[in-house]
Amino acid sequence: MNEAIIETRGVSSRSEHEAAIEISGLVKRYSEVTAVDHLSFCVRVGETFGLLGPNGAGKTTTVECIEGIRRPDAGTIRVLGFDPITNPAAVKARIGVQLQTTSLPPLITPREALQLFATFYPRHREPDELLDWAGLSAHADRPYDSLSGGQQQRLALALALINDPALVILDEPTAGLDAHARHELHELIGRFRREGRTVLLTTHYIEEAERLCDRVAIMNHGRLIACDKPQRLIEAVGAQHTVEITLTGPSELSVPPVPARCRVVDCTRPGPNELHLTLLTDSLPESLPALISSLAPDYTISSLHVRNATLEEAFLKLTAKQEAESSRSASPTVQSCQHADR
Amino acid sequence: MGPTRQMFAAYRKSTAISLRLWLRDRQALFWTLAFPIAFALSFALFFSRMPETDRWPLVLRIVALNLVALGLFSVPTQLVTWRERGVLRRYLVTPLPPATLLLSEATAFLIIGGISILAQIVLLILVVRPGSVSDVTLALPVLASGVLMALGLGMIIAAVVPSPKLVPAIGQTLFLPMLFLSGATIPAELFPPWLRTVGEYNPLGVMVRAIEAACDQTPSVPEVVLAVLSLAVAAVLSLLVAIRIFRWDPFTALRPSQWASSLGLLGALLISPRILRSLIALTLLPIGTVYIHAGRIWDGESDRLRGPVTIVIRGGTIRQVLDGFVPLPKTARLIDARRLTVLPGLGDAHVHLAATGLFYPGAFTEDPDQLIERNLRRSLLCGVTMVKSCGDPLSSILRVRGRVRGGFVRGPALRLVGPLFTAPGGHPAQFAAFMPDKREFVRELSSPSDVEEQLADCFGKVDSIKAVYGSGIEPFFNYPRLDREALAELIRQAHRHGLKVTVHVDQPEELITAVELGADGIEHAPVAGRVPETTWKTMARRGTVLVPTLAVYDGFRQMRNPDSLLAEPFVRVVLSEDEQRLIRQLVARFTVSLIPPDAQSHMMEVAQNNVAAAYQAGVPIVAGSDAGNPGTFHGAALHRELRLLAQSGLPPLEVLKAATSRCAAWLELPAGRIAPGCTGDLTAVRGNPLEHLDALANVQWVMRLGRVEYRAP
Repeated sequence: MNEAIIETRGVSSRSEHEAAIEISGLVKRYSEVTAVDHLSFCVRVGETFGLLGPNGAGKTTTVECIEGIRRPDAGTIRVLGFDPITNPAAVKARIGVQLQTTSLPPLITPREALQLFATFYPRHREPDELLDWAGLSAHADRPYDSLSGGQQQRLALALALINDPALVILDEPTAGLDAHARHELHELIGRFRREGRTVLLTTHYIEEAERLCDRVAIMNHGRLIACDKPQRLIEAVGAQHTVEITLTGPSELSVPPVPARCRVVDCTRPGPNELHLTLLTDSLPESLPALISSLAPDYTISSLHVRNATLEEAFLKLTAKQEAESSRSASPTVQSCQHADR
Repeated sequence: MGPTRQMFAAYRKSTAISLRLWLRDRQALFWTLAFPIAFALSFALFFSRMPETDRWPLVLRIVALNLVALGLFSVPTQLVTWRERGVLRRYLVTPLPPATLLLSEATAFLIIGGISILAQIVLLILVVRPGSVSDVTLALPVLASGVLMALGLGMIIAAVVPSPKLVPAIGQTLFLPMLFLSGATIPAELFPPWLRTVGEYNPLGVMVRAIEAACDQTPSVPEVVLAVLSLAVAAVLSLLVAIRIFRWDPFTALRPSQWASSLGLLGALLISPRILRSLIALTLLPIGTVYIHAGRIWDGESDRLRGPVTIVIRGGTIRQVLDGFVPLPKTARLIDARRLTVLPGLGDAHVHLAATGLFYPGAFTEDPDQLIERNLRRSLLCGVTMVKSCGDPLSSILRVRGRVRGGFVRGPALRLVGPLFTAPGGHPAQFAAFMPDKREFVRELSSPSDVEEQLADCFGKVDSIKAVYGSGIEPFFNYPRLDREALAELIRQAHRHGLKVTVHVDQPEELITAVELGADGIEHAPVAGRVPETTWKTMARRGTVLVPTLAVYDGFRQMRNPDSLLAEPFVRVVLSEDEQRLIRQLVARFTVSLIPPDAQSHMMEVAQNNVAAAYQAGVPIVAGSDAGNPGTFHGAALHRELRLLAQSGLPPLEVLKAATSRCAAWLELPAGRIAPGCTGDLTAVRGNPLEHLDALANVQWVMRLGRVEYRAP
């Protein structure tokens, strides 16, 4: 029943503002460093948007400007139609936030924390319901500092939902968690999307972004390098899939011919009648069947491994490219919301 | 829900949760409750044998010290730790105005501080037994404003200090000078004047001075009001600044320039209460100022009147005596006495406040506290502004003294001797038979070895000691007389504790012995014979005071004649209609009428001759009526005493001094004169009392501590 209410809410806000967050020309300087350097991007209503970048890329500063707790030096921000610089209270009332390191008084219990934060908002959800949602009902009356890291993060997520926000901003939600806790948290974040909420997520775990996000923006040194769907980013940088294949035969083997769109990058002979090939291809569906059929008559395939190109590779390529270009730095070209296709 | 109600709901919830967290936090409970209480108790036990008058100030000083420590350490430790852990940042991304959280933390602290103070005071009362709380009600607002100030300082520290590790360092830097210089632990009287002044320039110093002013025998309300106002204003200022500059984000270090400005700010707020006190005093004090335009004054000492003059009274104390009618500031109040003679309020150095002067059936079963309070009020009506209780039930008179000091009971400045030291079965043990606990009224000494035990609980409570060294007046009364050596030991031990001893005598030889043993004063001029001139000379040389109490002899005589008694000045003023009727009924059964009239006349003659001889020899004579005895009514009796002293041959100037400046010196009160620094205790009369003592009967108004307490109809 609750999901239904939230769904309705998500839909209605979608019709009001096409963009949940619009940032253009954002600049934030600390005494010596420029943390955010003419940043522009846009988060659409209902999408899960990832802000990706190495440590110190300016992700947290950007997020804090959006949350209305840091004042940018230049640029404009609209959050759900409000300006966090001139009207931070309106923004804060409508968003749910999980800070990079949320900490609560050591002796407060999850129930008390939720009850307390509920009083800060004109409309709020029931603390008990959120405890249930976050799987914390059994720990509702234990002091905060006796909770595990994953439980503390889940409480932080529940706190971010206390005002039933249309936009949730999560800053490094899984940093420092073990695999199990991270998995639980991914489940919860996945539910946000189903509930129709817009999510802005920063992370430096690339596979997390790839798994959770509809679109990803990659930041480095305060600048935006790229912004698109994860898959399209991978394709755009021309990342290639890797095929590793080990062949055995009756006698000394020669290097076989490979189909078009395939390229042999490495060749070793681990044993007398063995051959190990590493091939790159930009299209597995086309090249893999051709490769196997061309080998079939003369070679025996003793092992075959295929590695998909990842966002990580795209990310590394993009950041490396930006480092190289940083001398002749121009604002990166970024798709605007209007022109992007989904 | 409107935004204001929203904020209030958040504030209430946040305060409630802070208090719950406090109750859950053993360490916080230790530092806010257990430690201050333990500290206060150990300190109190250390000083548990100090005089009673010093106990309340001690208790309250410790409490003040503890609450400053609470503010300097508890508040910032909590908030700085929360900031460092990022707790405070989480609140920043909610729509809650940040001040709400600080205010709710502040409120929680005030509640915790209040609980801590109450717990300390209750336990200290149980351990130190400083006396009734009503004695020091005025000190409570001082403590309340002190908590607020402590909170302000704590908030400022919390606002600027980057790490919880630095809180103790900064707290101690501020706290230690306060600990030693404010007078909270080491009495400020031990310091040279300049250091005393330095010691006042911190909140604790201001609090300690105010606490002392509140606990004083004559508590200074303006002093207390000033301190409370300045502390409260400084506290609110600190809180506002703290909210303004509060840092919510964790930060690691301050630049040197930031350190300098933060410490400068702390220092400024630290000295601000003392500076505000001066500023507020300058602007507000005239409001409590009274100007008296007096046609003539008698200053309590000189042999002529002076006038016209303006007497300026501020904070209950005479500040200036200026020639002519000086125009007054708008804020001051004028008392027009241009056609009157103003003189110091009168003193009666020998009264029994728990007795009415009527000795009717049931007089002893009346509530002694009420009797004492009523008799104090009656004394005021007759221009009497200082009295010495020379024998009243100890706990009652102490309770009432507390109420007078606290301003709850309007009455003369009250000095007391507590229980009377006498022989077993000696005078006035016969009256003690009516009392539930006779040690309240008399202490019977069989031998010198009894003295220490009987005296022990009087120190710290009584202002002086009175012994009864009399055997009665043959052949009408006879009772056992105190052992001479016991009297000698009593005088020795009392003197060792800095208490004066006055001795009741009946026979001339008893007076001689008492003087020989070093008595500071003699109560009652002997009626049974002449005192040799050598003894008077000795008393004159030593400054031994004689309080003749001629009035009481006259009272016995007049009980036979109610008409003349009721015709006496002031008697109809102080006695109710019922009491006036009662006098006539009582005459028939009055036991003292056993003394035949001619014997009474003879006794009065002998006593007056002794007074005359004493005066001639230069003995300091102080007026005392023995009011409370039959036919001797509080207030009115003093005027009878003055008439009888004049009749004995004392000129009006000497009679007036006996009831003013000399009486005040004997009672050790800053009163009895019209001079800067004396209390504003005055009476105004028509005529010139230096020429005609009868003028004293024309009391127009009576002022006590700058306030007109009685105006003639």
